[in-house]
Amino acid sequence: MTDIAQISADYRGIAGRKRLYSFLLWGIFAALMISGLRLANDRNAGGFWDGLPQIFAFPSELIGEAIEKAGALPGHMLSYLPALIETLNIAAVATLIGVIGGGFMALLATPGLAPWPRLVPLFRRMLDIARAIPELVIALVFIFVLGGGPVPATLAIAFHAIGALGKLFSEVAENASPKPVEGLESVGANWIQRMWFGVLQQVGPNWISYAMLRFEINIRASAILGFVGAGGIGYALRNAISWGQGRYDAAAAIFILLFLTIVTFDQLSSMARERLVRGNAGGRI
Amino acid sequence: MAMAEINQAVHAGFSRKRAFSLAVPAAVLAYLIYVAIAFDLAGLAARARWDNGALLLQDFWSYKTHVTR
Repeated sequence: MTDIAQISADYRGIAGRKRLYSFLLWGIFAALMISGLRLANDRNAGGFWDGLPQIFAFPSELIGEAIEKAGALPGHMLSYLPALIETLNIAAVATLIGVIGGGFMALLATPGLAPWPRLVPLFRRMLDIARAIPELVIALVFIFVLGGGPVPATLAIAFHAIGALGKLFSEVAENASPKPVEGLESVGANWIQRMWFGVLQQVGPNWISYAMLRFEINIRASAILGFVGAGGIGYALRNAISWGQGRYDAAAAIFILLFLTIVTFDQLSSMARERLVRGNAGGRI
Repeated sequence: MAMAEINQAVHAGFSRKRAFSLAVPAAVLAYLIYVAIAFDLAGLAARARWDNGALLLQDFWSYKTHVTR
């Protein structure tokens, strides 16, 4: 009997101490958070609470002006179609380069499939570097060299896509069955033949599904890169927004175009991925 | 007779696959050529300023004032 009483008293003591510690930690966290926010608020131009209601000032202005000039929206959308096509081209070419380069790098960086197993860590670190450097930085360097336009954006996104796709592809290839590869090796196939006839068939659906996911991401990335001077619809959007009042209808038209494009390609690629991976139609949301 | 019919189906499948495996790289190549023209690659190669890029990348390890008033 005394054992049970002892155990329950010990348990209560430990639980109480744990509660006290977590309470203290939360208190310290809250104090740090509040003091940090107060310091940031004091050093800012304008206060946080004064500025909070103004968050919606810009969107409401933009939407108000767009509704006012709703008749001009279709014309604007038509005139920005070439910029949209350029954005899509940037994303598509970057995805193509990313798939080809990422596929090669993935096969070189997969233990068990790599032609030079000792160099697998080297190729993995190369993929890490390609993923670590932000697209914006690469794009700015290329814009400095090549001048504004779609090519710097393509190269920047392609570089990043090689890193991202290479990692995903290599994880898929790790799960591929080694039996076809060993069979091909036993009849004297070289490395390229082994990969081409033994591995690509197994990883194909998953690779294509990852490539389509990357295409969606690349459309968004190329729209963002337009803001730093690479071409496409992001550039047109930056110009329309910096013109300020009087041109917000153009900005609204670009927003609508971008939204429609991204929704369309999201739906298309999720349908295609569903069909590839699970073999049935559907997948729309 | 049955064998010949199966043969025909198999051969049709083979030729379809062969056409497909040629058409996909051809489509990709055609698209790349279109993009090279749309992005004006030839003009871009002429306009590239590699000295600019070298200057920018130099800043990673060296600091020097390149422009003075």
